[in-house]
Amino acid sequence: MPKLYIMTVLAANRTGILAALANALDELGGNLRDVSQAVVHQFFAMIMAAEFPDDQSPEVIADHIGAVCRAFGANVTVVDPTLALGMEGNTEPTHKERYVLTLAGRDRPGILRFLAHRLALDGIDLVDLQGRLQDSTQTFLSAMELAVPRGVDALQLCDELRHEFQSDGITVSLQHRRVIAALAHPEPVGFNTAIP
Amino acid sequence: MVPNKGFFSALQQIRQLPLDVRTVTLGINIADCADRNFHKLCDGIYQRIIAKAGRMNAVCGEVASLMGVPVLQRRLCVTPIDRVAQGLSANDFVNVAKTLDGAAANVHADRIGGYATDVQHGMSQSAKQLILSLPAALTQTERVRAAVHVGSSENGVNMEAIALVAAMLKEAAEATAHRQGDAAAKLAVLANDSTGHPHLTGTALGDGWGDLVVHVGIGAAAIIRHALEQQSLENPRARLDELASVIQTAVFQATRAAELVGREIAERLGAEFGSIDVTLAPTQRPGDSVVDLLPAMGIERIGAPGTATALAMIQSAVRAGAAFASCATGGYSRIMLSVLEDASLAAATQSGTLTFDQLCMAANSGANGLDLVCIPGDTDVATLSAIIADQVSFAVLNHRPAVVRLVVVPGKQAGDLVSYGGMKGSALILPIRGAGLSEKFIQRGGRLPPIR
Repeated sequence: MPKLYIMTVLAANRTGILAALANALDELGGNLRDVSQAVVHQFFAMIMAAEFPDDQSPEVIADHIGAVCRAFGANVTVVDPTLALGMEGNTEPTHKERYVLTLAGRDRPGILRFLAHRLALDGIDLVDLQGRLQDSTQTFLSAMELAVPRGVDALQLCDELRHEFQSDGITVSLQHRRVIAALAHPEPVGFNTAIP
Repeated sequence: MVPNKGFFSALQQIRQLPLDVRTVTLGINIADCADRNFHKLCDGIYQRIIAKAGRMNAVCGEVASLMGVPVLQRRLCVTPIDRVAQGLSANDFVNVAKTLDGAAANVHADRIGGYATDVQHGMSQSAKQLILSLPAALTQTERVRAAVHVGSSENGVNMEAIALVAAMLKEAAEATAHRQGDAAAKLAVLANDSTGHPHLTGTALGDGWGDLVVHVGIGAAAIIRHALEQQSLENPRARLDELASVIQTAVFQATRAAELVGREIAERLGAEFGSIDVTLAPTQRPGDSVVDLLPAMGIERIGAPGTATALAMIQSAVRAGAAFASCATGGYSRIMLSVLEDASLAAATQSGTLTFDQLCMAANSGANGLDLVCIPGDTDVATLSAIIADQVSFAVLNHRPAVVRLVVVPGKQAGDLVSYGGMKGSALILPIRGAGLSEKFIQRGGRLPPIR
């Protein structure tokens, strides 16, 4: 019976890091179930859910990946989700609509803090976040994917955020994933728009 | 629109798009409400509208909130009243109009169309009574919009009907002289609308649309202007065919978003999804006018030489973009030069750069007839008839639909400024050259034969 672990790997972003990581996983008999990867300021970061044979301990997994990826200075953590603290109150899944929220404008401290608190008020999950600051102009563009509980008024939320950031010259847009998909893909609209 | 500059660039393009749905129109079949008993007829119509459209306002709000795409207007249209109500007097028709008005108010619709009749061949007694009821019906109701279909390329033009409608138009204006003739603005004279164009003002639910259908209309001017301005930043000297591509892409995106919203609304109301109209009609927001597109293309103001070419190009690109976006766009897409609802057009009339003659010319290069044009209150009925007949004839000759809405403003002369509230703004009363010189022609009556 395979056992599922949640792992993070932080390493220098050089050619071969993914190959080394894949080698290590293969040697451990691991199988990726879910993965998300990003490169930020020359650092390679990956969070993944992977299954391993039940005789592999998390310490062995972390040590082996760390050893194989030592040339990249890899920092590895392995967590057993069944033993993780803070997961007891998880009542998923409730149905949530997916939106893409984008903000752009002049950077200032506290934007993300305000945003995270405001989204939490409506029970909105931030499931993906990407952002970039342009040093020359000190302007940023940030895009995040939100899982929004049914009943939350997207137009009202967007108006509220626009009002909040208006004085800073930060523009806000909130669009349903189905709208983004309709604009980006040429297949017929509205007939089969179920997006996972 | 530059789609291939990476994730952030693509997102930046999409996120700035001013997407909205200008109108959602719910078409309701009330043909089976016909009854010889007048009270049962009115009650049947009222109950049908409440039953079918009772949730429309809420559903539009829900879907707009869900999608993050505002729905600006909710409209209704029903089966043409002259088919449902036969043998009524003009007074009875007025009460039918009040029934429609009350039902529309009950379901919070902004307008209701269907107070309409088709007289392109000739006038039945019922059709004549409905036309005679127009002054009272439009004066005593708020949401009702009326339409009279007077001609088509296949059947020719009923000039006698035009003369009668023109007389009623003037009477309606005079009955609302204290409101600057605003009842006249609710009456549309239509041409080439045999199938019930679902997006023309005052139009009825046409044949073949089923019992319950949702149509959506887009105000594409804002999204096109945005796209042209973006293009101008990247390449200020872009060729016209490049601009046409930019317009097509913008219209494609607006159409896709509108279809998504429209289908969701239709599904929630248990209705069929009908059609999408990408008419370049104005909204209340600044810059939401086809006039505002012209400077972005290099024409400094509407009315300058080249205006007709630019409008024709926009029209062509809009139709191409809409057709690629959805099979539901039909052939409706047109430019609406609704002077009184379009702040930019109204300003152009006030500055003298846009004249009545130029509006007539624009009607032949992509615009949809003469819409909400204010004319002097002393314009005689024969001249009104001739203006309407000219626009109908253009449409019939060119095999395209047309709408004529003339606002005769009692007590006002050419050059006077007139202001309305609500969706309508301010405009200048436009002088009509040659007024009063067509009376003998109109008095001949009869019909124009079909265009061969």
